[in-house]
Amino acid sequence: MRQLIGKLKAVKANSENIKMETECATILQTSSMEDSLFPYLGDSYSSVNGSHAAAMRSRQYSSTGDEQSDLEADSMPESQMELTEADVYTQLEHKERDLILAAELGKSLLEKNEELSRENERLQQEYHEHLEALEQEKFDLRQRLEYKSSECEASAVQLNGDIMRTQEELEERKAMLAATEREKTRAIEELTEQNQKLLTQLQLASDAELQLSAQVQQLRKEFLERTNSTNVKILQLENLKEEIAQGTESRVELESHYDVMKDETLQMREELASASERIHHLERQLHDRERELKRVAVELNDAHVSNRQLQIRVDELREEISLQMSFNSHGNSSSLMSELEESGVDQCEVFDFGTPVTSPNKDVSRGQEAESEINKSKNADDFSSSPPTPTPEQGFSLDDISPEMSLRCYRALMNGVNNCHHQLFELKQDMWEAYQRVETVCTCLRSFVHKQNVDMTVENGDQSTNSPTPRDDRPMSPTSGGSMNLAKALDELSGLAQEAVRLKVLCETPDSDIVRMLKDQHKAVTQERDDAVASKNLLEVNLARAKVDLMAVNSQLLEAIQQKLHQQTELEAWQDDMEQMIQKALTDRSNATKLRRVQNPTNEPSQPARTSWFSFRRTRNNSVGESAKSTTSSSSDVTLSNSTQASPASDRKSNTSSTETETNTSAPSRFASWLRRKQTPVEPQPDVTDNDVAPI
Amino acid sequence: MDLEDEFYVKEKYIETASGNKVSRQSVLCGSQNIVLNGKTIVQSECIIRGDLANVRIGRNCVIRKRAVIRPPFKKFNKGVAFFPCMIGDHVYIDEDSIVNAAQVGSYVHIGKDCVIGRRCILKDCSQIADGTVLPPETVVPPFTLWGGSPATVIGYLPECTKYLMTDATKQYYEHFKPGPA
Repeated sequence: MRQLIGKLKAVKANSENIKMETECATILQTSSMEDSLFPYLGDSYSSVNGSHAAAMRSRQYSSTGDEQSDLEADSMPESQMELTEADVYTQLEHKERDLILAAELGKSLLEKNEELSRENERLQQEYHEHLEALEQEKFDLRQRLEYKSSECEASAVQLNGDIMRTQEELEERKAMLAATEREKTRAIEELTEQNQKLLTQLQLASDAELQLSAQVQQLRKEFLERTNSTNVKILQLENLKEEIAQGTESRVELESHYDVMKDETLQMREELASASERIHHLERQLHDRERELKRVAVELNDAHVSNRQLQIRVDELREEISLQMSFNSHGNSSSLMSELEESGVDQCEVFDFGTPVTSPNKDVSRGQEAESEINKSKNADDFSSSPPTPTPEQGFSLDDISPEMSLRCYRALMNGVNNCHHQLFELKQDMWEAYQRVETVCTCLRSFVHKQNVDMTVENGDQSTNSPTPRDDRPMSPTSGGSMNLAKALDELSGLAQEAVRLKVLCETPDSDIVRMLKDQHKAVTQERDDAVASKNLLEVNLARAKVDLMAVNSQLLEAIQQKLHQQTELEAWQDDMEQMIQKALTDRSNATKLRRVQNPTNEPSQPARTSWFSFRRTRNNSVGESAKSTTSSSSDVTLSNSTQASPASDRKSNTSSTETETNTSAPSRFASWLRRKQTPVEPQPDVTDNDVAPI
Repeated sequence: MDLEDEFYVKEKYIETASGNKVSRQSVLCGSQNIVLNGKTIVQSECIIRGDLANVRIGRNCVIRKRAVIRPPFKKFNKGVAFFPCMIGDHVYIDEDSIVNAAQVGSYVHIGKDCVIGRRCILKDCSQIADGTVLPPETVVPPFTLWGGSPATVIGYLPECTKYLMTDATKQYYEHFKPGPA
């Protein structure tokens, strides 16, 4: 605030200075304006004007004002009063001019004053505006200050929170550090325990080594036994191989036999199929023949019918001929009267009602006339649709028929009769031929059926008890046609029938005999083959088993040899260590004895040697780690041994872990085992079973 | 099924060379104008008016007792004209029927007590039932059965009518035998 106030004051002072400067500038501008306003004044007047301007400047710059300048002006004319009168006028003129100038100056000054006041107002306005802007700025700055202060407070609070948090984190880190330290100690403890465990495992491994040595011995014995057994098995295998070879040979033979039988069955099947086809063909032929027979029978019936019809027609024609003959012989019309006359009957006797009402001829002529009239005139008359009127028959009298015409008619009729006879003869011939054909077909069929029956009876007789065959005693009608084709066809038909019968028998019988026999053979062959294959499989299985046994024995032997080699290497290493240790101990002891002899020749040399031995042991154990603190508590050992005995799998794992530890730290472990062996006498190892030790 | 034999007195019938059997008791006017084509039976008390116009009867026809066959007539300005009567084959005209038809086709059966009007035309294989009165100038088409008074179509005949009629007339002729005297 103070700063702001100071600033404001400075701003005010500046504004005042600026105001002053602006006023001066305006005055200077006015001088320049005067120059511009009074250009007509000469250089003579320039002094006055210059003095006036200097006076004005001095008036402006001094705080005394216009009065002092007036005094100076009054003082100046008194000195010059003594001048000439001519000059007075000029001076008066000058005075007037000065007066006018003064008036003008006053006017200009007034104007200037007005302008200055206006400038002053403007400046005040500007000042107010500046003030307002400054006030606004001040307000903004105050607000900004408040915002900044609040921000500073918030940041301070945040920083305090951060500090608290960092303190908490620090505490946590400390706690974590403590925890990690605790874990570290725990891990160290665990590692020590593990070391102890590894030590115990080492002990167990040494035990296992002993056991393995015993096992190796046992395995050697077993290997020897198994080699003996393998020799025996190899002999057995050779025998079995020979058997397999024999079985394969028999199998090959059986397979060849089977193939032959298969071919035979295929052939038989083909024959069967062909036979069935032939049977079908024969049956088809038989059907065709039957159809032909039916057709011939139908034709025969038709021929009979046509024969009957022709017979009827012949009768009719005969009657007509007789009629015509009678008609022609007598020469009369076929009227009833003529017939009656012909038969010798008197008309008057017969018919009492003989006298007609009108003459018939007249009536007839009249009727004919009327008919002609009707035919001419009427179109819708019924007679137009009626059949033609029998005008020729109407006048069937002797006058109308000439002898030539009758002869012609007779001839025509005779021709018709002859034609009918001829047709009848042809028909009879056709019938005879058809009958012959039917007869031949019948004879063929009879012979076929007879042969089939004979073959069937023969077959039945052969099969069962040779019973007497019932033969068809009907005499075979000889083929009336006698044609070669028919004979050939008959022969073929009989041959086909025989074949059909044979195939039928074959078709019927194979289900019982042939197929069964073939099936039996096939079954036997397949059985033999299956047996051979089964024996071969059995032998192969035995061979595989023997091989597996051999492999197992070999693997066990290899394992035993490897273990033995491993143990030998360990033993050599132990021996080296022992030599080194003994040498060191001897050198230490010799040094110590030498020192003691030098210092105290009276002390006994045995005690420091022990301490050195002990210290060496201690140091070695410490160098391995805290695990080997030589605090081998007997109770933990016992529990560990119990656990190992309880679980062979864990024992194996421990063995593997012990071997790993051996590889890592071979010298101390070897030493420890050696020490343990030295301390504890070797106990007799119990017999280890195959299940525990020797996994295949 | 065969018909029973019908015996007649031989003396009372005349059998012509063509096999016609005409009763002596029938009335045949103008026999010279009557033509029987053969195997036709004209029984007793029949009247055939051949004196009016030609009467032609076909083969194997049967004209039972008291039947009248009369040629039809037509009136003209000048007078009356008679037309011939044509009867086909295998026609059976039963008892007491009057036939004035101009044409009767073959295989026609006319029942008892029928009146066939003037100038009627009976086509082949037609039948007229008993007691029918056929108006004049009626045309009976084939395979129709007419009946009533005036006659109308009351049924139709099978296609085998021809054979049936042939068989019937032939059998009748065969079984129409001269009996013992």
